[in-house]
Amino acid sequence: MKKKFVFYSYLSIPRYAGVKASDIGEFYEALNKVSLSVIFYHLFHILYRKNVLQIDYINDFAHWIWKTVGEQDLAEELSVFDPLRIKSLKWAKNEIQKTVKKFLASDRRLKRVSRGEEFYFMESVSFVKPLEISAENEKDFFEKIRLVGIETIFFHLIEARLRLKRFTNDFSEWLETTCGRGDLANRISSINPYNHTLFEIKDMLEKIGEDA
Amino acid sequence: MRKKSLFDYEKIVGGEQLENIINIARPLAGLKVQHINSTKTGGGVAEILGNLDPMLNEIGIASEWSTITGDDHFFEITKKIHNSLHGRDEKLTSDDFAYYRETVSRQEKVLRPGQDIYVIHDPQPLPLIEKRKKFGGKWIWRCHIDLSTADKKVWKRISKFVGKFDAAIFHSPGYTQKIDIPQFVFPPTIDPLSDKNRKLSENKIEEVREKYGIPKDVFVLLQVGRFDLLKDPFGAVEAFKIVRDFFPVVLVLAGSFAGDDPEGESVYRQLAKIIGNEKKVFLLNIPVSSESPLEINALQRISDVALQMSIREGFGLTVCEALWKGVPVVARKSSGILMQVIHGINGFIVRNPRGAAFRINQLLSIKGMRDRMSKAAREYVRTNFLLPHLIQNWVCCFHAVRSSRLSGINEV
Repeated sequence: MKKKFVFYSYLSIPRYAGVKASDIGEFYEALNKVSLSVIFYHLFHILYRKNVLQIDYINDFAHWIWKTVGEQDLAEELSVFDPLRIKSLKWAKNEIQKTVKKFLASDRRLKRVSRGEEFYFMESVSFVKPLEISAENEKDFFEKIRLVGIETIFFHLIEARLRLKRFTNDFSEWLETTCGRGDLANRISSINPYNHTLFEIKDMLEKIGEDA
Repeated sequence: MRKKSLFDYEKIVGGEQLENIINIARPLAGLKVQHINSTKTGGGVAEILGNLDPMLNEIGIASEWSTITGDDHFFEITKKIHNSLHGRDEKLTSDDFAYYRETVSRQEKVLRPGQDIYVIHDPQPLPLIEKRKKFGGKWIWRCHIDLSTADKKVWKRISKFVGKFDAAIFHSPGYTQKIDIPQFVFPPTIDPLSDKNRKLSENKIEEVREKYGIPKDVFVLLQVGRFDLLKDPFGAVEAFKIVRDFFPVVLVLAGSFAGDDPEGESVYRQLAKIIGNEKKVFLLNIPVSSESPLEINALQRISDVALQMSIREGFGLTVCEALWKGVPVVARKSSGILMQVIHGINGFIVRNPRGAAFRINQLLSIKGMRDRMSKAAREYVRTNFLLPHLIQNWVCCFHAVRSSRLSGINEV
């Protein structure tokens, strides 16, 4: 018998990780101290906040460095961490560190931000509970996806990257390994969460189901 | 009036979001929580608690809301503490702190024995933490103030109390402090179904307009808020004086005196003096009553641009209220407001009254910009700052504090 896919409820709150930075030097030092869950928070958590006004860089690092510090070059370098190309959070952290280190090596004068404008490193505390919604096969899966909220989508599609420690998601994993539908798994994996709101992503998942 | 149900919000935020909250809240059924602040009327905290408390009960948490009391001297001291935590220079003596602590300590009876979690809101009731040993339970401090530029000496005294809590909650990461307890961050929200924010009939809106004599054929600028120097209603008047020469426009300053704010009347009198005989400025003291939320609601709905010239703003619920009604907001840069107003999208962030005048001018001149911002304003609030979002954050916080699960992903 096929293993069922069980959908989960998900809620989360941000927690201050106890480190802040007033300039790029302090930012670099702090990066060395913080955990991978902090890196995850700043790369992805804005998607959970459902900010529909996507005008700025999505990841918090690039956003602060551009908007508050005013170092647009570095902000642009950090903005291109495409979530589809990040191999792991550890890899992402190393890449961010390398990029910032290179910037610091240029020996330029560091701009300090005012009190209250520092970068506050955050992480999230999350709570999950299985819903009474599960799927037996791929057809059933795409029917059930209509019934779940966007928090559930965030948990299975985005937070899974932190949990599974690799860049896949619960939906693709199950569709591929349990249903043998690598084609559907790939279509889901190729959704770039930086380019869509969670509401749009839910619509896209439903569309994949209609095509399947 | 019919008791509100969480599912009344289904049409606004979607039934799946509500099911999600209820499912995660289920293991908290029967949890006893007592919220304590210093006033039941006036100001944002009272409003937030008035909305939050019944909804927590609705999802099975036995929540109740109590207040401490104090004489005028106590509230003068706590207002100074409040102002200095917001960064204003205030003179506070050791005697003042002793009086503050003693006044609160005498009110142990406000604490309900046997609660699982005590939530203390803002600095006024903070010294109640000294009763922790006797009453047991977990203790959370919910801070509604922007502490980013807090007076260090005052914060040092206050933090001695704060350090004894199990957790603190701030509106924004920038308000967090160097304290050795977990610090959670989430903003307050508005209730879209409350009298302050629900849809109103055209008749009701017109009734309020007529009551206050606000003309129909002019642009309306509105600043809502307590009469408080930190909210800088004077800045709103200054901005108005620049734009009145170019447009048929009126300014409405609407507020009330909060029970725990002794400064209100004096600020009101100063404002009345400055406005003098200016017929195009409407200074409205709307005392808290069952009608007042409806009146503020109507005033927001007849506005073309909302102003919030606050120098400091922990959050600024009135900004959220205006955005929810599709009114673009021109606001002075402060941490609380930066969470809500996205410059050029749903309003403008400015530094001073002249900057505000420039943006008001743009908004009144370009209808297309007003319409675009109006749409974005409402949607931004719908997806981020409505009561169900607050309930979900509190549910997480209760889980975290009750079980001391303070990181990672936790199955409940």
